[in-house]
Amino acid sequence: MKEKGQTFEMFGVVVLGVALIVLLFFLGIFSVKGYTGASGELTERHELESFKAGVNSILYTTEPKTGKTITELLGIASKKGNTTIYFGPGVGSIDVKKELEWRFDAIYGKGNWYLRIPFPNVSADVQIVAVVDTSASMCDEINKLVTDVPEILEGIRAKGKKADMTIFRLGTPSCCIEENGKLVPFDINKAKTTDYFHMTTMPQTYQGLQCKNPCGARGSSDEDWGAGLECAIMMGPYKGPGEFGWRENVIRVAIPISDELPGGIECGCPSAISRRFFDRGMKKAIDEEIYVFGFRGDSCGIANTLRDGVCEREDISNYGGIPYCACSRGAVADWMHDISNATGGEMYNLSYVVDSADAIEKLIMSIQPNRVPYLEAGTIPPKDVKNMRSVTSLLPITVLGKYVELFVYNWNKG
Amino acid sequence: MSTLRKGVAYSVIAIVALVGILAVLGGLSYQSTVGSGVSESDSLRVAQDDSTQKLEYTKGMVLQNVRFSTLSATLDITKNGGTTDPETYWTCNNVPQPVTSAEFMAAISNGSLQYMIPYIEALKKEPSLVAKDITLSDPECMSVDLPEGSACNHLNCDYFGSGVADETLDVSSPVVTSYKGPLNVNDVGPVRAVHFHNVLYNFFENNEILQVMSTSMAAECPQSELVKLQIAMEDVCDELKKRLDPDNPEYIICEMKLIPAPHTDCTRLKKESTCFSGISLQSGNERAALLHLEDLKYEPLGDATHMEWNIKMVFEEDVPECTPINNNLP
Repeated sequence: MKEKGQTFEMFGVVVLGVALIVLLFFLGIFSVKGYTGASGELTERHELESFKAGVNSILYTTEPKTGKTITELLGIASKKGNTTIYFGPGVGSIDVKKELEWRFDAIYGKGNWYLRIPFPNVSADVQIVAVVDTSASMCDEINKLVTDVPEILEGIRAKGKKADMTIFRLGTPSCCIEENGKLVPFDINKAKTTDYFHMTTMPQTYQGLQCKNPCGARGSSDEDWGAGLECAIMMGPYKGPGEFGWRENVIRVAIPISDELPGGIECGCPSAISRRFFDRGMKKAIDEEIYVFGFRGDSCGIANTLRDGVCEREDISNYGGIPYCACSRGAVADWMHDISNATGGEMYNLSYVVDSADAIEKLIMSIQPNRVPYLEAGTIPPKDVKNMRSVTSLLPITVLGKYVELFVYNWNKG
Repeated sequence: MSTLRKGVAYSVIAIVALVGILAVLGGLSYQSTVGSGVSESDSLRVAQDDSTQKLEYTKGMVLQNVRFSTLSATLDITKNGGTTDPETYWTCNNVPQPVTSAEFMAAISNGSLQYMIPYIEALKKEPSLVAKDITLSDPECMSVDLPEGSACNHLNCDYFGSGVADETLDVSSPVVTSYKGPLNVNDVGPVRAVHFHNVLYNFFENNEILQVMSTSMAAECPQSELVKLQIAMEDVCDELKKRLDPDNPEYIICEMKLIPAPHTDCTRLKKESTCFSGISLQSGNERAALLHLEDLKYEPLGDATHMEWNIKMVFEEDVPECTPINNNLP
């Protein structure tokens, strides 16, 4: 009997022990683990959602000076390719990057976030002023320009790139061109202008500056593409009758076209005088951030001159002992190269007449606007960072039907 | 006997404990079932949140498109003189026919829609949107809400409202969620289009422009007709600058010049009119002028995007008869 009682007692203790172990096992494995897992997931999700909500709240915040949302400002900045936007004297300038930075810092703290918007490739309009030496040796090039460039501009516009060009003539060419195998006097006034191609005579003075100067007593003012360039840049392209000026947000290009040094006399003039005119043009181009593409004419060969109403063919390579050819291929090429390099442009050698018009097309199609490629703000994420959260958002921009992507990252320090 | 009773007692305690533990386990198991139900409804809620978030995200983009489209259209419309047609004459043969507020609003609405459609088309093709299972309808109408002209002045009329009248947005995953209705914004700007329209409308409606010109020409008697006209046009600009921004007239660029008279009738047809109304030719000695205005105060889309107005008119000037200078001589 005693043994039976002990057996019951033992049985009771074993059952109790097993039951306790099962209970603890169940609680430990399923409950606790489940709770910790769920709570971790919840925290992570909560952090991601609050991060997204923070980004959205910043994007749809209104910037008080403009009354525009940050999204709108980013859309405008993306088209401009610039983070500083001018909204007129009623508002002033807004630095979109700064607007983003202080807002993100306030929500996520300095050093805990990073954003990037790759700006799209937006093709900017191109405006060109060309300063053309109108001496007889340039006759064919001028003829080619006024004949072909209007069509080229129309063709370029048909391809979606907008460009216009204004030619500033330094004088009136007195020369002849070949028509149907015969030489006929060239009348530049018959050249056709269009909405995008204009031609005007360079004024003698502009805002108190001499725009056309001869180099010394024997020089010729219709060859001063140095001072002429300065005046053309100051005046800007044709806007309307009697009106000139550059438009905003365009790629501004200036083209001196000549086969001589500014002021003429085919390198025979003291170079210091020519250089002074040249420097005026170059300084103005650099100050105004104008791309200069020097078109170097080639005065090696025959020129069709007009003397007393009669057209004549003359070899001007070394005419009257003056080294036209050596000058155009020497100092003129060097100076054209210098001014082009200094302003981010490129020099074109006009070895053949057709080159002048072709070069215009080539430069318009290849020139790119001076834009920043992306907007980047915040701190670049450290490599060993844990708990990185990211949001990608689409933003419409002010180019019809275009969007850019905004990438935002956030992490916890430590 | 006492040992047996003790053993049984232990055993009973153990069995009671076991029953208790089983009850606890049962309770826990029940709770876990309820918990999974809660968790299931929780994940449903999370899915719903996801869909709602996608919907709101798309709404935000459509609203931004509304802003850009309306602003761009407004700048186009003002450049055309208040309609979608660049050949808009506000005075035709000395008869005033200024663009009404309703026409101006309709033009902005139509113009905005032309901008909005490409934005929505592009948005529908955006890979990130397609991947998010979001679809949206083509906008068919843009609504525009211009502030009451009479309540506007040069300082308080910089923004107006616009929207898509009936847009449908559908999100198909993780759960189906939709929105159907208008999407409106009330912060299109800053641009003083309504204020300019209001001032110009009043200036043209009662032929004040011709009165200013006539008065000016009368005061310039010794001059030739063309010089008088030139001065009169400058006076029109001076007057308009004062009316458009009395505090900062330097914000306004105004230029008025003669342009070739149109060869066709300058009577403006309303938008509802048929486009085949026949051609009637302009005749007489009328002059045509272009009034060009620019508001430099705001660049609504940044850098050199200020508002321009081009207003055309056909008129016959009222040349005053000059009193001879020597009329007092014998």
